[in-house]
Amino acid sequence: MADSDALSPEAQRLLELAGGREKLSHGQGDIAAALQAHPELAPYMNEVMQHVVEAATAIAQTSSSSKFGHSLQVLVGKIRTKNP
Amino acid sequence: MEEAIRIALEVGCGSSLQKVRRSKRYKTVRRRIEDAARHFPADSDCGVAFRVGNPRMGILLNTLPEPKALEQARSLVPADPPDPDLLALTTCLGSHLVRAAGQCLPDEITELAARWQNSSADEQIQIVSQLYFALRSDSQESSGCLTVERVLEKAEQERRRRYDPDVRTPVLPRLYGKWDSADNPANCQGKTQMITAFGRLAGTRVLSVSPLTHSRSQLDESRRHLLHRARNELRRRDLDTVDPLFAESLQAAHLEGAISVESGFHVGAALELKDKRWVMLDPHGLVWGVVPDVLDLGAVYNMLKKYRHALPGLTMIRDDANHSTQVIQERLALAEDLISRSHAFEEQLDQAEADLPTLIRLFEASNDIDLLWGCSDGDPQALQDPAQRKVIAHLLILGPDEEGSLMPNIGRILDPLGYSRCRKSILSYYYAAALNLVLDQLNEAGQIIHPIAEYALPEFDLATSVLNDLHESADGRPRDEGFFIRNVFRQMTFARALHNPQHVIAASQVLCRLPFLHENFGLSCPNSF
Repeated sequence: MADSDALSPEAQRLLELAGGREKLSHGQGDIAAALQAHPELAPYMNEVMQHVVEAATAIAQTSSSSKFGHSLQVLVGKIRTKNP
Repeated sequence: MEEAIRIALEVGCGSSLQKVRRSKRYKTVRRRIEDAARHFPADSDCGVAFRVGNPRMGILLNTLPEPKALEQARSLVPADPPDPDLLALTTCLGSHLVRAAGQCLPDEITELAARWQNSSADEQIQIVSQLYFALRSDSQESSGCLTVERVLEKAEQERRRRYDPDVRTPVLPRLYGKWDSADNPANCQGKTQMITAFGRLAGTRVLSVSPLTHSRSQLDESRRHLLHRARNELRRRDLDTVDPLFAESLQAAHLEGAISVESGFHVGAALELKDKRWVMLDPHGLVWGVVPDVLDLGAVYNMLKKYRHALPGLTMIRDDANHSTQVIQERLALAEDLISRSHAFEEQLDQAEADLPTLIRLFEASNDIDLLWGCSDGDPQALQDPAQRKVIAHLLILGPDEEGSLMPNIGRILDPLGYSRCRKSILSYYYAAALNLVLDQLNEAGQIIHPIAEYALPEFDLATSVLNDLHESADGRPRDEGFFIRNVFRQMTFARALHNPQHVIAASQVLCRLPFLHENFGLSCPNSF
């Protein structure tokens, strides 16, 4: 899992106000309510969301299983290739 | 039995019965058994264990604290002593197998062993990770999408590997030869022999690990649970056929579950780190990870070491107090959260204008785009730029056109059914992302271990595993179950003995007293896979 110490202090505060990393990554936190109460932390929302996504996908992507296919999954791969 | 040992020594290790019988080690082990009264004094712990022997002492040590086990053992009638020649030969075979396996290690692995001593515990974990990937066979890797064709291909490979006599994987070092991941046929035994050789080169303590519950079976169970939920919901929400690739993967996963083969007995290893933690390493079973302290493998090792002369085939059963189950459950919760988000987004759409611009705007504004993008290996930075975020939201909602072009899909925008199709496509994508969160990431990243396993000192354990494989075919005579029961306290031994009328009662009596039984008891093939 990503280390929350790596966040800026403001992003760390926003993360805590929103319910913490675990809750956010499980869809139980409320970043909108936190921002409504503390609009000055809005510039740090992206940092927090990036952190949550990293936490959700931090485990190595390498796999000995084939992935479930979906055309949108393929599409993301193409976008990634176009924007390395 | 002697014939099986001869073959293992000659064909597998480049030695011979004559050479081994002349060796100092053989003579020492043999003398120890023949002169047990002197080497194992009756009032000593090892003396008690030697006289009680396997399997009774194995049961006692696995079910009672050691002092109580010894106390009970003292009141038991002594068992027949082991055959000194066979026990000494088997002990020597273990050392020869590991030495010969050391010659199979490629430079890449011997260099890792050379780095081990001067590495910190965390650096040693990195070395184990490298060793894991170095010893994972190329045929065990799998990329691309899950399709019916791929599932059938893998099933055929598995069938041939297990049942075709022409492709039976050798367990003897001189037969599997120098390791390379592309075409070396070593199976779990061969790889554990090589890991043990690595441990000896690196100068660290090693245990062999025979899972009674395989971590992959726990993962498979979670996958089945998630797949079952996904299939039911997708069908109910009319989302199961909206995306042809996903529809095929769902069908393939269903087929995969239906034709999967239960695993039999298996072996991996554990290595001790500089800071006294242990790390489990099982490249053939596709698992590695730091062992939780609760298992106290240091104490297990010391116990096995203490009785190594009296009971060389002793194993200790340990469970991880649900450590791996919890890690898997956390991941499953993450996947189930993604599915719940599909429902929540659908509710949001139901209350909004039913048109494509609204669908795109709501998706762009939600956190779901970040999670779905991240789950599909998208670069999180790309979504930080508002303009890029808008473009990505458009692309994901409109989806690729038939040629897979990234150009905006004008056809879909103009199609009167475009909204409905795009909405279904994105809602089903949550499920694909969720199912892809529970593949093999946890075991490949060293996050889980085999939760319940038998631990043993490796050389003797590996020797008896090889003999178990070779014994029947070696000389055509009936299998000497007595040798295994007397000397090897492993469930593999007792599972085999259940099929022998002469030993079925003794084997049942052992099995019914053990704290954990192999997960596939009654189903498994007795040889390792």
